Amino acid sequence: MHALEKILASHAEKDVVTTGEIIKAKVDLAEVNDLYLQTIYSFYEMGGKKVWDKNKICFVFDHYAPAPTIKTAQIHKEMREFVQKNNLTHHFDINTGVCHQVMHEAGLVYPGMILVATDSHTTTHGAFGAFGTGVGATDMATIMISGELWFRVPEIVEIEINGKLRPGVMAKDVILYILGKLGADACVYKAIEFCGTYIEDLDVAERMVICNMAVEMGAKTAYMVPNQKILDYIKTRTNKEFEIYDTDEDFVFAENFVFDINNLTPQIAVPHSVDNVVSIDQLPEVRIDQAFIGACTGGRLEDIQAAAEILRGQKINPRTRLVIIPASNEVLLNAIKFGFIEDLIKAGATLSTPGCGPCLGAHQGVIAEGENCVTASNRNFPGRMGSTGGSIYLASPATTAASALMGKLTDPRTFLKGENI
Amino acid sequence: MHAIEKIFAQKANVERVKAGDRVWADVDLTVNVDLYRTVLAEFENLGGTKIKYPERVAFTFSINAPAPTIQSASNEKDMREFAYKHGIHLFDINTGVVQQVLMEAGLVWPGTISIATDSHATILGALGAVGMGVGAVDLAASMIKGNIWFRVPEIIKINIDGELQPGVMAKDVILKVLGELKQDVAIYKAIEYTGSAVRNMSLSSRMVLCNMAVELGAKTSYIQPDEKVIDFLGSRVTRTYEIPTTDPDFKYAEEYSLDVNQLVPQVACPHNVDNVCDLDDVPKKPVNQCLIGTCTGGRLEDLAIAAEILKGRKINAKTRLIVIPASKEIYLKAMELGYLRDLIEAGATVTNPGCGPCLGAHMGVLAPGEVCVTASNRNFSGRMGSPQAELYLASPATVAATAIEGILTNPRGYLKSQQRS
Amino acid sequence: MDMVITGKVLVYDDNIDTDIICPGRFLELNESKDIANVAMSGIDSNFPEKAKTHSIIIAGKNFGCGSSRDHAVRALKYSGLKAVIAQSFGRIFYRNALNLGLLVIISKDARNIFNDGESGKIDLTKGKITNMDKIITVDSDVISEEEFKVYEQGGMIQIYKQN
Repeated sequence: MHALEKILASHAEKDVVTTGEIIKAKVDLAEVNDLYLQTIYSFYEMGGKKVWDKNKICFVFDHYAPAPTIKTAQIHKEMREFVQKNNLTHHFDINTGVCHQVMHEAGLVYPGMILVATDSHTTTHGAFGAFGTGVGATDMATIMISGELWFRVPEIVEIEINGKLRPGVMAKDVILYILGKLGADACVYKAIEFCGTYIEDLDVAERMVICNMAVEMGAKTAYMVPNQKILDYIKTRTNKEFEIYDTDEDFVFAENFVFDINNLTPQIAVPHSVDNVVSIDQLPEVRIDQAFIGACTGGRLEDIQAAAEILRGQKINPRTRLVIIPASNEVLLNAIKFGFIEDLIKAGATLSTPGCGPCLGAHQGVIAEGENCVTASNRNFPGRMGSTGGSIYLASPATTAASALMGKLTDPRTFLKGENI
Repeated sequence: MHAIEKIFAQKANVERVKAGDRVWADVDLTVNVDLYRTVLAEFENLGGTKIKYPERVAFTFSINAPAPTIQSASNEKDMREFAYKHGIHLFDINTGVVQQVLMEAGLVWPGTISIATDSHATILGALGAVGMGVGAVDLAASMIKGNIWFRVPEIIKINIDGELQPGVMAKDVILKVLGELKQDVAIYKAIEYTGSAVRNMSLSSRMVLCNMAVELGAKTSYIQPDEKVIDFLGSRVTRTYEIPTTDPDFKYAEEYSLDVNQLVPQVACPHNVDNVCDLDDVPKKPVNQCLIGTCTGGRLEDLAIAAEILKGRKINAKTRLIVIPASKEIYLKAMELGYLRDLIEAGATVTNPGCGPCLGAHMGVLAPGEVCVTASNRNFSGRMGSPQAELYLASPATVAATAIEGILTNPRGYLKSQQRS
Repeated sequence: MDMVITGKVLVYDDNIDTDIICPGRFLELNESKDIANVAMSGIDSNFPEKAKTHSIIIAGKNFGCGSSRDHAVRALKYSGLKAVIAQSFGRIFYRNALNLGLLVIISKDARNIFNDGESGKIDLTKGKITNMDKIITVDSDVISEEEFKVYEQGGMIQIYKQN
């Protein structure tokens, strides 16, 4: 069996599970974000009275933090009332950050767990060796009542990534490159294990970027074998005991793909799909009205650092806005401590509250018709960040920062000190 | 003549003016804020093709910054293009609140006339300048012609003597004035503030008095400039300027006086700015949101006292605290001095500089039934979101103490130093 | 411009501020009809409907206090209102009304003789306001000749245009 199958089996109290089998598994952590007030309505419609375990359900307010409209304020209000009524232990209000950052910062994520959230990017937690998957309101209500959910045991695809990135190229470029090669529907219903020499030694934040965007290939979940960096990180966050499951040597993956990233260049997903990916040097000049660094894909300390290193002592193009949304308050505090925020604000960035920001067009930098936005976030569907007449280019935080500086899509390697392209 | 009358006379190029005269006066600074896309329509409507003095016109984007909706993004896009085309000053989303950034940029000095599509333009009286709020038609006309008509206002003197107790701020003073004189005392008129308490106030505190002069109905306000003003203008304003003075024989339309020696923290209760009581007399109910920031309560001394109160403490678990520095300059200083860290660690949600939720546009809109205590300037029904929300105006110190306790709280017991710096 | 204006009245209290007349969240609207649709939404969500059959607002003191937003004047004007009578007006609102040609009249006593839905008559030359149902007349400030000319031409905006 694969480690993911072993996780499912152990939570279903079974010895063995096989691909395609429907099982009922216990959920270790269920997360509801502020887009899903419907979850609470469904909970009551389905006869829910009290949640199954007040320690295992958390609410995170990140998409509308702070509330941009009366309606969203009302959503928060009703959710807070539910949290208080059920005396939930974990409630991340508007002063915390994105769910896929604050949960692991709070020590709620560990290898071998099943984490279900009302958010498609829950695949992020594969970086920790967890089974993380996104669901809708009905499934979530079921979990809130019973602590269990039906799962189909997925086919598992192996994506092996070997090599070492050159300076100025980031994990985001890697996953964009793979998306471009495999397509947005490559792994629908399936799980992805990322492995290879690149993954084995990868830092915590970069592992999350890769797993985060696994969902853009349609994946149900993602997985990486926890490395020492992950284990060290978790140790600073929780004392919880956990089990790391090994994949059996005889396990056969549904498919295998191998990528070499030694010579990878910065990649861009051009409008309007995530798999419409080209190397930055193949693009004509693209004027940039707004650049966005932040959210669950590109708002971690390493991302902000990459931007600060490019923008330190510089001024962004006067006709370009640069919106920066740290993934969490902890990230913000660290970025302040290291001077990154000072560098960025002095360069002309607009630094706003940790959360999802304009990633899904809710507020904090919605784009107008005819505007071009380069973003370190994860989706470039038409209308994702505002007007359907806007164009979104997905890129790494470094490319986004370099583009803000020049007012057009720009290869960040131009700004590397002492490095040649 | 009064200093204000001398300013009108000089700008109208006449020897003398008196209250009630209608004059066409030159405008030194014509300011449009991002809510007024309509100014572009009026400019066209009035047959405008060129701006007479582009260096005397500024657009500022602080309200919908960054844009929370497609419509506001589109309005800003049109206004940016207009600003680029005409070569006027543009303070984009990365700068801060209207009048604060104009003062910091050295565009206002004693003896000038400014108009803005911002009623709180009265704040400029703190620099010995005449600042007045206008609508889109006046603004467009001034852009085209460089002057507009004014009715020279009657002038009221409000004399404020005494020494403020620790924890009592300029905001408490102006709320007390509002409570005593009511919100229509100065309609069509100008207010001059005098007295020992005003002289001893920091420039930032004087700005609070002048800012809220408009809540008394005033057309403009004035405080005789002194060394504090000259120090502030320092390197910001390089040109020479004359400081106008009032003739000793000038007769004020009305005179009022207030002794602040025994003043205690004040609160304006829903839904009127002049519905003012001593804080200790206001019934205590749970507070859902606290706001420190904007053009009234977001300057460095406001953040300093909030940080002093909140450092090492945690805000109430059922209360949000939103902090919005008034400008990028203030944000950077507050970060350098550690105030932002103290506030974030206490649980504050710190957003980008701007107007935030003050007028219900985004960044902390209130749901029906919610209670908000705010250092901003208006508590009208519906101002910050739902008309069924309740707004209480208070000083930044009171707001900070309230955030800790979750009910309206006198800041006195929370100050580490007895004397305010 | 008519020297006598008649219509059913809507009565409001003191300090009807610009956040009541046109809340901040609607300031992104640009089209007059869209702005009219949200008129008075801070206090009366049925106002646009009522404005179809009522054409005069009578209020207490400090009507239109608050923001510089001329959306507040536009909202009322494009709702079809002919006039606003109040004991006093917020300064910027008054100026914006003059600019955009919404008739604003100061009367200390009109507020005391009307209830919602009653018929009113404004005589601009005489400075009289009459409750036609009760047949009671009170004084209003007489509009200056200068202001009358402004109204007659459709507001300062028209005068600016001609210059």
